[in-house]
Amino acid sequence: MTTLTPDNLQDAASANLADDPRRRAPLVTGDQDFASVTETVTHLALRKPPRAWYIAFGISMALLGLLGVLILYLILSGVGVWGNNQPVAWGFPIVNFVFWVGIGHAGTLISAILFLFRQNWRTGINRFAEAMTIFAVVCAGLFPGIHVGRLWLAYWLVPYPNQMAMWPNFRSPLLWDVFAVGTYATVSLLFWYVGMIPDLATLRDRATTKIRKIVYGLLALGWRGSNRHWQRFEKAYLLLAALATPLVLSVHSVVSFDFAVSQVPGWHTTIFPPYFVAGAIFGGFAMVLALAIPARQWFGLKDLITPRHVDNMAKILLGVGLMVTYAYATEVFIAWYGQSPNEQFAFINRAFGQSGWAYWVMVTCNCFIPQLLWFGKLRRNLWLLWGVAVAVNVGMWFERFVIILSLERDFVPSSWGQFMPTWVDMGMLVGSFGLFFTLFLLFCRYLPMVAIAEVKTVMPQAHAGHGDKQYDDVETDESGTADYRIP
Amino acid sequence: MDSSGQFHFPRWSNLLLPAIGVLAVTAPIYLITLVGYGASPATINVGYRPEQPVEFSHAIHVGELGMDCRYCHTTVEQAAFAAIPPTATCMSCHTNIHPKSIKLLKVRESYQTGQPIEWVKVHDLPDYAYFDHAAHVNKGVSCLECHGRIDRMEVVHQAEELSMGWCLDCHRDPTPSIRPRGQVTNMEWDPAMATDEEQAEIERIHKSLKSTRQLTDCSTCHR
Amino acid sequence: MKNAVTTDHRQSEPDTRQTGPAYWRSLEELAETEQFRAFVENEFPGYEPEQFTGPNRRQFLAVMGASMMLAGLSGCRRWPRRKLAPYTARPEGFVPGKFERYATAYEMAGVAKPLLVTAVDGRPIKIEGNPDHPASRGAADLYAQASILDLYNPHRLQYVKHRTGDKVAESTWSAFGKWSAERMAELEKKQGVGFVVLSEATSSPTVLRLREQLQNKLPKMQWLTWEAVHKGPNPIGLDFEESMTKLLRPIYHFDKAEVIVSIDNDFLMMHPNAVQYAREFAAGRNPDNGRMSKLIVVESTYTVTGSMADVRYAASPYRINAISEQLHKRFNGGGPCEDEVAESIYQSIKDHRGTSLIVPGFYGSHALQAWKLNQLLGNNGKTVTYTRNPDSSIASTIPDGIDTLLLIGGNAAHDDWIRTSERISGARHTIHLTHAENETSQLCDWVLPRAHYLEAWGDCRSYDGTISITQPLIHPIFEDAPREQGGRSVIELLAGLLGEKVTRDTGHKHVRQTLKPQLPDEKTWRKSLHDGLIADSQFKTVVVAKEGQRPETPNVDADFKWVLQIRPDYSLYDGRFADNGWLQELPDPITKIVWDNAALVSPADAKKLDVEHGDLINIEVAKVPENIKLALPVYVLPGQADGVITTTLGYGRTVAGPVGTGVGFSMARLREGVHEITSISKKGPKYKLATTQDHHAIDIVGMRRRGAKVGELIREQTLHDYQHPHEDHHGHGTTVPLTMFGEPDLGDPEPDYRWAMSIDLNKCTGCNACVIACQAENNIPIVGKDEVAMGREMHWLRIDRYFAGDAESADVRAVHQPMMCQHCEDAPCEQVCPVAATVHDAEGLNVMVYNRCIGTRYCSNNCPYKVRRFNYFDYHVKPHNEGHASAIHLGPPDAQQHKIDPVRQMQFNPQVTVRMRGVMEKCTYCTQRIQDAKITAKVEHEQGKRESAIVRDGEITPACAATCATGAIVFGNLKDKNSRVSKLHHQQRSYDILGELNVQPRTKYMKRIRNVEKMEDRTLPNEDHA
Repeated sequence: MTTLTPDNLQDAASANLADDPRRRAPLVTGDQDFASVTETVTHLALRKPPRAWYIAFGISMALLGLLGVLILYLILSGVGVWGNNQPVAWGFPIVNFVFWVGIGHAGTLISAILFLFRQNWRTGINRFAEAMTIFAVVCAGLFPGIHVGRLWLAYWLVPYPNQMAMWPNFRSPLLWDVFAVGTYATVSLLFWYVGMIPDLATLRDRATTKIRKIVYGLLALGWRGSNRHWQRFEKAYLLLAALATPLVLSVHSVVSFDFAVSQVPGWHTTIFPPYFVAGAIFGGFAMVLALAIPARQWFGLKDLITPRHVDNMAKILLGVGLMVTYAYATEVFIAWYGQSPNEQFAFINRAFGQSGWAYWVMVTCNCFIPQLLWFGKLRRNLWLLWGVAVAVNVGMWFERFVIILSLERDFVPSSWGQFMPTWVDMGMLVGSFGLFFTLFLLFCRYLPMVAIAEVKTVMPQAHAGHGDKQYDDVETDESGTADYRIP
Repeated sequence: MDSSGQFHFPRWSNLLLPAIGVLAVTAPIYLITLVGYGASPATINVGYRPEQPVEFSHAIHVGELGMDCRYCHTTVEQAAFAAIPPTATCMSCHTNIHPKSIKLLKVRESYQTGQPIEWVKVHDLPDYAYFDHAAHVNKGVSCLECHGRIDRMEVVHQAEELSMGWCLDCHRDPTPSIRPRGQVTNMEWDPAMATDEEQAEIERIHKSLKSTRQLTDCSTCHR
Repeated sequence: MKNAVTTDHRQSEPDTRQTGPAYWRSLEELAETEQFRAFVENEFPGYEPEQFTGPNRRQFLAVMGASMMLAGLSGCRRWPRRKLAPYTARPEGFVPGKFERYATAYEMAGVAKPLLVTAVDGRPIKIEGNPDHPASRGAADLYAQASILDLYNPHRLQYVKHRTGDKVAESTWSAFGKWSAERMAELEKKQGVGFVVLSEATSSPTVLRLREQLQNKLPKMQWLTWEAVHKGPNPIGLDFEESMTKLLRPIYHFDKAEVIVSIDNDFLMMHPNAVQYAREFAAGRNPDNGRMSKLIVVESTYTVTGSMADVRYAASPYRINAISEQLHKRFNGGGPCEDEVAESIYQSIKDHRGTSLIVPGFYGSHALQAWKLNQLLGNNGKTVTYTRNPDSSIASTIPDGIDTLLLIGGNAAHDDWIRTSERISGARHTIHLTHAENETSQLCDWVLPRAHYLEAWGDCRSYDGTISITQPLIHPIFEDAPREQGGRSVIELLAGLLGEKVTRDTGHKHVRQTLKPQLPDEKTWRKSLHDGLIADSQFKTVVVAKEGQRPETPNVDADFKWVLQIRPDYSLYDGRFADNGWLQELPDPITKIVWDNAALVSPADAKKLDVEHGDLINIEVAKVPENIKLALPVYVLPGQADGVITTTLGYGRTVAGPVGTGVGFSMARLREGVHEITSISKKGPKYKLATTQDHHAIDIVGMRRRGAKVGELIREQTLHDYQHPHEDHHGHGTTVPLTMFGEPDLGDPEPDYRWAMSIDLNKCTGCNACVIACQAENNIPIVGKDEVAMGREMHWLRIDRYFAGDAESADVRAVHQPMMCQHCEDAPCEQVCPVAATVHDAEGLNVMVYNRCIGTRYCSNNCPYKVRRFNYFDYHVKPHNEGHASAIHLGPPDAQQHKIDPVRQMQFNPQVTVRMRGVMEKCTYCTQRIQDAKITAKVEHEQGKRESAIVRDGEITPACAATCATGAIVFGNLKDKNSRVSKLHHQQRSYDILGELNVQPRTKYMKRIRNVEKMEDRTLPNEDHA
């Protein structure tokens, strides 16, 4: 076992294990000062974006167009354009829904929970993780909406007084979903937006065109950086963080109820809520990594999203991956231990039945591949890390697919069937990525990708003894490392 | 835009704050009123008065002449449909009364050619709602309850909203709408004037009714 | 969602004071199609109902309730403005919108199926059996029930077609009349030489009388009867020509037999009298009253009858012949049979003299042996009686060199393409009276539209000879004013040929005239019209005193040969129903294949041939002058005899309308029967066979689980175990209801009813009649082969068929289990629906409210029985044979239903909402019938016409139960302790399916009882050529 010494740690740009925070790798590298950080981040929003942006945007717009056309086709003909059937009445749309809701977890997790736990390394990544959350939730919200047979009546899911004197059925998990996802989307959006206000003011101040000036001006809500503004901002941010934290856990728990509350063998298990939350964090972190690695490369954010950030995320990915693996194992164990023949068969069938291949794709991607992250060397290989992150995303999509496929064989063998996706299913899955990336690229282009103000607080310059003091109320610990200014 | 070329909210925009507050309160009220009242069946359906091919006046026939509903709508007590009277029913009187009236031209024509008069349906329930006239009339629900004061209508119009909520109002509390079976077609009947015998019948019918739980079962009206 | 068919009071008065047509109908903008406009406007021209039945009786026949939803906006209301068109003079006693029922009969292959037809506002919408008729007792088979779809087939032949050279022109009946009068005059000069009538089999006394008249007029004419399915030629060489058995029609009395041996006779389904036989068979198999007969079946493929057998042997036709032969020897004092199957049959029946029954099949030459065996056992006159056989004269081919050929119905060219089509084309003049254009009419000069039996007068005889009158319930749909277009019946055609002027009254007049001896006066006529039969008109029983001459003992060919056996199809029969979507999509009772026929191969043979499900194989059949090659997809069927490949007739039609054309594989170059195969080889790519069960080949993991599961779903017991319950080690305890919550609030007062159903697996033969009944009653669409292959069939009621035992060997049991919504008291579907579209009502129905449904399909996922069906498209509108893009509809989605074919709409039951796309649906226990009965009881009670406002037991019968020949389905009120269903639910055999889920289904199933010592005793191994 190698001994960790301050020396070899300092070498590593990703070092963060030292007890002495001074020994940890800095969270902003390069010769960045406040001005250059501002310039680095606003550069993308205010200047001409790199060519990579245009190419990526073109591709995702094309995919978004495909999604639009397919939705139109769906509305004009019927949900039969998908591969859904008897007995698999839910197919890709619900798989995609759960997948995207899962992705939508990491942003708020990074923002809120890491914020409350004072994990200051989150500053480099929280903004676009939050943005990713919002866009993932947009994608997620789309699918249950269009998956219903008569989508023009989907508003009946909402309780409101009506001439039919009908209320929705509050016993149905689908209704809980409506509330859970709705609340989550609202709070996440607010959290994201509130956190962005100081940076929007920065953009406003640096904007060159009139339209931008006005739009950023309106969005910045008249932010002037006064003490009072900061104080209220921080209070609001803290409150929203506290509000969002339980939601991170509740949303996917509620989504898991769609399955857990039913009596389909393979769905009806009590482990689903924690299992789904773990899975969601797993998938979400993987997606953050999958986005962050190219983003820091193409958009010049290497100094703000440092190897230390990436390494931290990789470790979390590994940790959550183990939780997910544990959940898979528990599921199988309980099926055996519970001695319900239906349940037992559901798991045997999952692994060795007609669609067993999907199960093994899931296990490989979610359980085996992340084990590579035990090795620091591999963690620091960005290409490989990116590959792992993508594999985890694939695996997490398949996890939901495998769950849906439980429907193929339930209680009555005469009704066993097989699910085969149609080209429309495929097109919509790909199209949803188009929607996600279109929104994400627009975000990169027009909004501050990194929380400028927050990053500055973790820079040495923000602290006593470093250059010009910008703030009077900065608390510093003995080491001189700044922490969040929480009253 | 201030002098620096940046956008800042001008001072007067502070005045908008109370306006935003007022709007936040009134907008939902306005929207709820608009949707809840403006688009409700009560607004859209009630008063629907299509033009009919023949100027038949219920006011004259029922109100003035005092004809019973069942004289023309004969099947109302036996069937789900209260059938529209055949032309022959009209002609049974109008062969002698106003035999040459211009207004009855279409009736005579129909009688001669065998081609029906095409009345426009006024009380039009959706096809997935299965209303049964016989079931209601035999349990003492008056024509009045759904059709209003037909005896005062020159041209028939829809008097009630005939929405699901409206049906349920009665199915959840049927008693006020029940009268003795003999008085079902009596437009002038007043519950306050009910004789003891009539009161007893009302009670009997009420007892024979199912619970409101059953009256509000989906299967009661939808098949 | 709007119901496509509205029940506006489309009443009209067929006014009799006026002459000439009176067009009363205006359809406004919806009726866009030229064809429909023409149809509607020609519908009710000056119609004189008095001609039929006297004044004021059923004048409404003239009325077509083809009410329509009229599209278009009026004012600000989005929904359409609808019109009410009342009668000008309503017939007395006629109540618009009320169902009326009339007795009539449908003749198929020369045997009448007595029916009771429901009509509403003048349009027949539902066919059930005639409860007063012994051949039906309320049950109707699937063909009779599905025939209503033929009535409303928009692609029926609507007008007379005349072909000159290559040109086909629209003609008229009067043009044909003129031409035929000239022809007849010419023929009369030659005494009818060269005139051949090729008629489908008919028992109609009126047709036979007119035939005689025609024969008198043209003494040298030839009248031949043609049926594709009959006791066909037996190429194995065991056929008896003109033997005694051909002249006799055996009538079996299954209820009187203790041991029944069926030698390849599918009497429970593929028999002209199957409905009656199934009922009587079930009556003799009640394990609870001690009368439980034993059924032994020897057959070469798995049939419906085989699936009901206590002991079943799979054997090739050769071996079946041998068994028959050996049995005969054994009973004549020979030693023990070589064949152990024959010996075991002998042991089973030898002691049942007078109480056993040998039922011979159509495919061998067993008829005479069976007669002799029954004679030896003393069964003749007891368990089987004989009448004369009216269809003894079925032609197997038609002569050459015909001058004028009149084809009445049928499809001879398709049935026997090689020989017959040539002869038809060779005739100088050809006339075909046909319901819809088919392969035969393509070859004919004159193609005449034939009236549907619900449109015309007629008469026919049931299997035992009882005469039924066929009365019209609707005016010929496509008829125009002067009777120039639209269908005519056979009687009208023959009357026309005899020189009569055909009027509306012709059919009625002739039928009355024929039946004058039996029905001399108006009273008896009215009575038999009402009852649907003429009492005591059955054929006389013939007692055969002298034994028939037994022909030479044929040499039984013991060598193994592959044979191809061609049978009539369970759905399409001989192909006459190919244009019927309901039947095309009806799963085969055994294979569950839809929209196709397949080569059924035993598992052992499949291994031998190295083929599996869906592989195409080439089969070459030995024929003179040259061998015939066929390609067929393989279906591996457990229980199929080794060495036998079975397939069915009726597919591969080339001219069968948009539904039937090109579906499946044609057997038209061969005929029904057994053919020797000279070679089999595997052919190219796989073929997609769509099935409603086992959609895909099941892997080993799945097979193992299925095997375990079947024992739970289907409970079986031997008769011995059942009668000695202490020895029951079955281990299925009753489930204890568990609930966290109290009893549901049913309201105060508690409801009078708790609806429930009981299904007796001991009685269900899997005949599919209930599936069609449900489809007709509940406006269930067909979805097409591709959609079925995706697993999207819409049948609310399906029949699950399970095999038990070793699938690889012939030793495999089959059981049928009708499965529909179980109306669970604690229904999993209800809890998960977010919009409360599926809820419980106080009487225990699991109610599906279509208009509340938004289509999340969660209920379907959570339904353990998987009985919910989802409208992935508007299947009534989407062409069944086109891709998904054909479902595109521009405009409000709920207006898509306006595009349903208006002719097709006429069949819809107005009491059941037509579901639009995006909506879940399922069995409702026929809630419309329940409501109707309840309201009627209440109304009549209020009016003092009825003692109690409570519906009595038996007053409500769901469509499936109503048509079940064996009475396997019983519906009723559990609250009434004396109702049949209450008693059955408490019966020892009753059990819940998936009771362990604690959903508390209201439908209970009753154990199947096998009359064998041990379950394993069921069959002997298939040792044919092991």
